[in-house]
Amino acid sequence: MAHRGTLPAAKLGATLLLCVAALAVVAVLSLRVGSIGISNADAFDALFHYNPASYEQTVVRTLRLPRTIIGLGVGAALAMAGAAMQATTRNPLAGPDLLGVNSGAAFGIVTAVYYGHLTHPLQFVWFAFAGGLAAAAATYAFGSAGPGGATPVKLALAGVVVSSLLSSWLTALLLLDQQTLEVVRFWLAGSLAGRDVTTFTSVLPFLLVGLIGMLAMANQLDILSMGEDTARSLGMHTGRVRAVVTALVVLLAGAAVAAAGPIGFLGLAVPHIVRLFTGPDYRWTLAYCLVVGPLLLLSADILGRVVARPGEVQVGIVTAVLGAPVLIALARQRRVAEL
Amino acid sequence: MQPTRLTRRRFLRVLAGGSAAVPLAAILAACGDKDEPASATGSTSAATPSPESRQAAAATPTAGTTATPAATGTSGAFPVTIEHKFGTTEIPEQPERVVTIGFSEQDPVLALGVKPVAVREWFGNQPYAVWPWAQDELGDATPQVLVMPYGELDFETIAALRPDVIIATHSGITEDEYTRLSQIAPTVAQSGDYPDFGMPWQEQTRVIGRALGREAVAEERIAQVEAAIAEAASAHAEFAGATIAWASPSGDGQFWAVGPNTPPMRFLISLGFVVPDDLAKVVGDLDSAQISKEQINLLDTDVLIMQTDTPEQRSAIEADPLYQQLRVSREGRTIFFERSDDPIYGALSFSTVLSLPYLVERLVPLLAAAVDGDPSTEATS
Repeated sequence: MAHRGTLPAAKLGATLLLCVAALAVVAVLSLRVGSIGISNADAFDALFHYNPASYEQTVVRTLRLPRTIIGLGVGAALAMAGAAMQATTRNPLAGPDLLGVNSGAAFGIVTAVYYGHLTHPLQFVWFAFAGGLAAAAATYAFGSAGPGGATPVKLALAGVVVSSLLSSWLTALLLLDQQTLEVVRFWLAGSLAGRDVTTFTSVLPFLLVGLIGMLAMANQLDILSMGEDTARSLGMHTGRVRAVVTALVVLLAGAAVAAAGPIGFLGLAVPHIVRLFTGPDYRWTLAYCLVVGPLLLLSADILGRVVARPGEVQVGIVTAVLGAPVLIALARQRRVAEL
Repeated sequence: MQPTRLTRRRFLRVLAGGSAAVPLAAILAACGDKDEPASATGSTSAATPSPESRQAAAATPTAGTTATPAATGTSGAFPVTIEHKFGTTEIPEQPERVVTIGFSEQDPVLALGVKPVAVREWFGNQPYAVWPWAQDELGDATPQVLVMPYGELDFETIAALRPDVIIATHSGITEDEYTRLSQIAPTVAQSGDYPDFGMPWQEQTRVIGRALGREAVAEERIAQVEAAIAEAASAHAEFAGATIAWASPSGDGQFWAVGPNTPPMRFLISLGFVVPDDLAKVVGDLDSAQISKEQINLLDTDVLIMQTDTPEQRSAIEADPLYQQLRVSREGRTIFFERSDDPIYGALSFSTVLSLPYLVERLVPLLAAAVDGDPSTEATS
């Protein structure tokens, strides 16, 4: 299984720097490009000499800057969570959704709104984590039952069952209660716009713990992705490692869902795109995900701002529309299956 | 998914603030996102007008649903035939059991002195789906309420009501639905001369008057309401030429703006207000269009009606630095409706022969307080 990356290490490093530069460019574009035209001077001043009386500068400062920052964090979190899920389950179709983490987080929030009559996104955060964790735990519990323990196939099936179940309940709650719907419908559309920055800053610590923790687990993910038997023969406590990785995935995906709402495909597609360069080496894969995730998410967000003027298309829809063909193209390449 | 469905959902979402019609795309997006791009994009394709609405908007407001036999104003001239979007419906004799499956027809039917056996819930959860402005006309009648919030029609229940006529002028039904309803009873569908949900209240009242054999009453009520509106317009000369917009936040940092070809905007226009050109251009012939929050200055009119679902949403808008830059904010020109069960907001959404007099009484003072540009005159209901 020890594939070499398609690029030698020196080139991988240089390419990563290139990606960082591209991300910087996209981040600047994210401040410059949108529903209304904004000059370089206004974009610059909005950051460094903010004049609250200027309409253009207020647009940059209060709308584009927050969505850019949220996009950076959410993009990195979803891509890393997806890569980690694919490693632990050895399933190329794994993403944060596969273990029911995303559905769990969404369900947690909707349940809290329904029973607790919460109204502010800041209050949603904890229920997103709790729901995501509960869903992941349920998936593992179902997936580990029976002979053979938690095999990738059983985990995937359990994840599908848990996700469908939670989604049905969520829909039922929304159908039953108009008030809940009115509160959460603003959040259910995965979007970087119209989000509260304080919500993002409140999940930021968890997000950082998730990102740093996951980078620290890169070696373990490498070993784990070689398969249960190999990992055990190398002396790894696979169960323990899986539990830690899953907890980190819940932190990352839960934070992303709480900050932006459900955004699909990114967690699934980015690791595959990244592996075209890096091969299965998880140290490089995770480092690339950290950069390419936000790069693609912000690009999708910018695209969504300009395709439907004067309206905008939510980034969750853009990623779904763009992600599908990307995924098909990837699936036609043999390399996808080689985790 | 049929375009008419989307139109219906979009319209309902805007006017009812999402409480009547759930943004299905949002639910789908929340329930896993493997294969929904088609339906999800559909709901955001508000910027694509359908050919029929373009065509309809070109028609003049006087060219409504046409009266085939002599419109003499006398009742009892059955059978009558009524032309509409899907053809011609013949009503053989004066109906007794009237079922309304459009969202606002309880009003005109009650206004004509007929108690429907069943009416449809739009939003607001009012008893018998009848709002305060129609309660006198309802009296002690207890119509069955048809709750069909997602646009689907419960044909079995409708058939079990054994209607003599089905009124569907403000329903946005499709041709298929019309055909199935016609198998149950003669069905009066929306006019083909306007976009779905775009039929003027006068036309709606007139057509229902003919269907129920109450043409004289219908003309009388129309004349009364038109006179009341004209009186309000002349009493408020400051309305003439003042710009107006009606919007609601759509949750993803955007706003829905309602177009001029809708009954509520037509009412405001009949008071003298105008929809500013740049906003009218953006909405085009649609009943509503989505605009990015970056373009919130399109809503910087002489009067802005802003509908939210919760008081928190209103506070969020008022605290928004971009909104605070607008003249509507500085000069207290915004009329906020914090909840969709606010009866004035409901009356504006309905804009029927019964709700318009209620609006003349209660919304007009708010409009006057907003248009004066004096923040000390509170313009919130």
